Amino acid sequence: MWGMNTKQAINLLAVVVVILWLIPVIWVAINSIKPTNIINAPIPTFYSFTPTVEHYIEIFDRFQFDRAIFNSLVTVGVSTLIVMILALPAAYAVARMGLMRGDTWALVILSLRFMPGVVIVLPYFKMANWLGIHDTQILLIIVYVAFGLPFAVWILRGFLLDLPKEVEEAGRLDGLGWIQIIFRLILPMAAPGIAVTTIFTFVFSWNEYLFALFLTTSKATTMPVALQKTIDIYNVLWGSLSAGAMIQLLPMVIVVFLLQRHIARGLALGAVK
Amino acid sequence: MSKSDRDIHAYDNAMKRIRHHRKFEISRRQMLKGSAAALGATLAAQFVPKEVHAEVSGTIVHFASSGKRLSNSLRAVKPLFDKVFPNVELEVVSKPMTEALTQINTYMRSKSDAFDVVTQDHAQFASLDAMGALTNLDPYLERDSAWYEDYQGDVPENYRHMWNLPKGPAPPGWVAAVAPDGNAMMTFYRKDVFDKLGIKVPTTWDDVIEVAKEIHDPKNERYAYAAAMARNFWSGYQFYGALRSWGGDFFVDERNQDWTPACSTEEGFQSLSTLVELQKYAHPVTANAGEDEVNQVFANGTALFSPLSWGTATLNDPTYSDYHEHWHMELSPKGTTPKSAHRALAGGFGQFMPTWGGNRETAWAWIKFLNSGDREDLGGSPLIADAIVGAGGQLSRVSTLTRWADRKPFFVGLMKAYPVSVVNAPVIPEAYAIMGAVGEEVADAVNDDQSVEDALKACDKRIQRLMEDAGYYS
Repeated sequence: MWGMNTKQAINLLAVVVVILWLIPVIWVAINSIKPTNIINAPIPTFYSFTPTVEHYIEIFDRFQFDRAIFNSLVTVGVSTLIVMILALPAAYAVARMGLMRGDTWALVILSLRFMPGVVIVLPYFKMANWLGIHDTQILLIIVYVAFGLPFAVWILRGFLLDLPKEVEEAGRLDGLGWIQIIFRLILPMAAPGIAVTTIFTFVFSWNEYLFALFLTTSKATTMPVALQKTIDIYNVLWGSLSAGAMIQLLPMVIVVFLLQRHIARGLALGAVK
Repeated sequence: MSKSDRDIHAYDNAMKRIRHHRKFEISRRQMLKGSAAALGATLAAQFVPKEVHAEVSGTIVHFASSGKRLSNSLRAVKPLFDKVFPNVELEVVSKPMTEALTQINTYMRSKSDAFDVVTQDHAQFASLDAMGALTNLDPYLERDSAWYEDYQGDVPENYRHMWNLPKGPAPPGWVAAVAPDGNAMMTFYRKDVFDKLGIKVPTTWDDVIEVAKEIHDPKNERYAYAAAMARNFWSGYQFYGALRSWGGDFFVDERNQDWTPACSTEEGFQSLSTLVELQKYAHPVTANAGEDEVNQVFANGTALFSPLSWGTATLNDPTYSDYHEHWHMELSPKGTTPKSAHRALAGGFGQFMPTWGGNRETAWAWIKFLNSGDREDLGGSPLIADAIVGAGGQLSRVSTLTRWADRKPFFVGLMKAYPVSVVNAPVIPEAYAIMGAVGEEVADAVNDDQSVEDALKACDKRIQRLMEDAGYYS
């Protein structure tokens, strides 16, 4: 095609796909620094305007985004940590410890994730009120752990099944117990898989909306809910919405940037290959 | 420096720069640009309360939908309230506007004691009543009779009575909510364009079509008409607004509980035929628009007119539209039959005390403060209304609307609409479902997917089905 070989054509296709993916993000980024009347203009402009930071100021001033960022970081950070601490031994048990009907158990664990959130959010709401923990970070952490754990176990199990058994057997011959095998042998070998699972778990909780909407009111409100508040009655505050979206995107970009080496390896291994 | 100190400092500096030519007034642009908290802090700095009520104490939580008009206007009043009630801890909490109806339903169905005061759309009023969530405010109003008299004198009766219960043959019943916020469906038009072409604002539906023909200029990206005609409750409201102006209604006689559907009538035919005709002059966004899309095309100058739009201060906001000074509002048109009249669908948000809330006395003190007029002897102050308006609120008190009318053309329309306002939907819990079902049939007619006659018959059939399912005919 046009004098290109197959590799060049694939590269070109990849560039086109990346641009298509990036256009909405770029659009949002530009909107976040446009004055509102320019955003509302009938013909969009991408450069001929005076940039403004008023939407970034507004998102903190009017929508208490500082509190939402703190809540998101705490609930998502802690829940992801707990999920990973629990998921690794659980996945190891399902994958390696000769559990009777290990595959069935793995499927049962994953099926917990199939349940639509909207089915259980109202019982959670009632229980949280009854326990007096509604609108607390602890409640969201519990829910995110409950929902994130099955998925993390399932993905990690796939990674662990791919690891060579001989290394564990050698460790066992050297007198290591299960815990030592997991933390001294499995953990370093499964690092790419753990990185990918951590990111998936983090992303799920970071973008989660339904539980955060029903189970918080003000003190524990997270970023996705705060962002939705920029949709006003009879008009959408596109500038504030875009500014909030850029802020919400930032930690994900940082995490992916820091772990990109592991992600590339992780995606090539394990359950998601 | 604490946040509130920063706010005061920032606003004081801003105030020095932005003093309007009228003493003690802030320019509209600056009012709208400031945050609710900063605005409140600035006004609080000017506010010298006549009395301080240190004896009132406790914590109250007020729930409202998010946004400038609702939660932000409450937050703007808070610094003033804090000065009068220093021992009350007031927290304003909000949920996203798009979710607020379902959220408050969830809380009230659960008999939650999370909120002491709730601001909620009138569309929710019948559902809240059916849940037993509304407190009778009459004992409080009788006790504060001078205050109530002032409120009654300033908020038009038919608007006030929307918030009374029970509905039916014997109004006005008891007061379930007071409403600082008000709204109505109105005609929106670009005054500069109308003036330039020498066109008067249409007062009948026949005139509306003529005006649409005259100002329609799609080649230059200027469409005559835009309206929220999305295939759901939005188009239901468009039809209902027109239907009421022709003298029709969804039911034969709601007040006497004759629930026979009445869309397929002469009034219904005239209403829907007009909407179908208008679609020829519609901005492309109309077919799938809610009010936010409509306001955006008004703001950017590509649509010039709407006979039925829900009122909003947004279009007079200089940060939102370059045409903010040119958007004016008037009474919606009427039909040409003897039963026709100017009837503005009224909405707005009322404040009620949930049955399961606590701190009644403190909550009432806050409601009263929010709904105060200008009279300082009754605990009011013009600064309270200024805080609400400055934060993006729209009020039910005519005295405040009058005071702000020259700076907000929207308020002029609102003042004209209140005296002819009618409730925006049947006051039954099924109203929202009916509005959605009717909206689907109306949208199909407007988009030429079915005839006007078939659409009206379908409306009646679907209303009948919904009412049957809810047990109205058994």
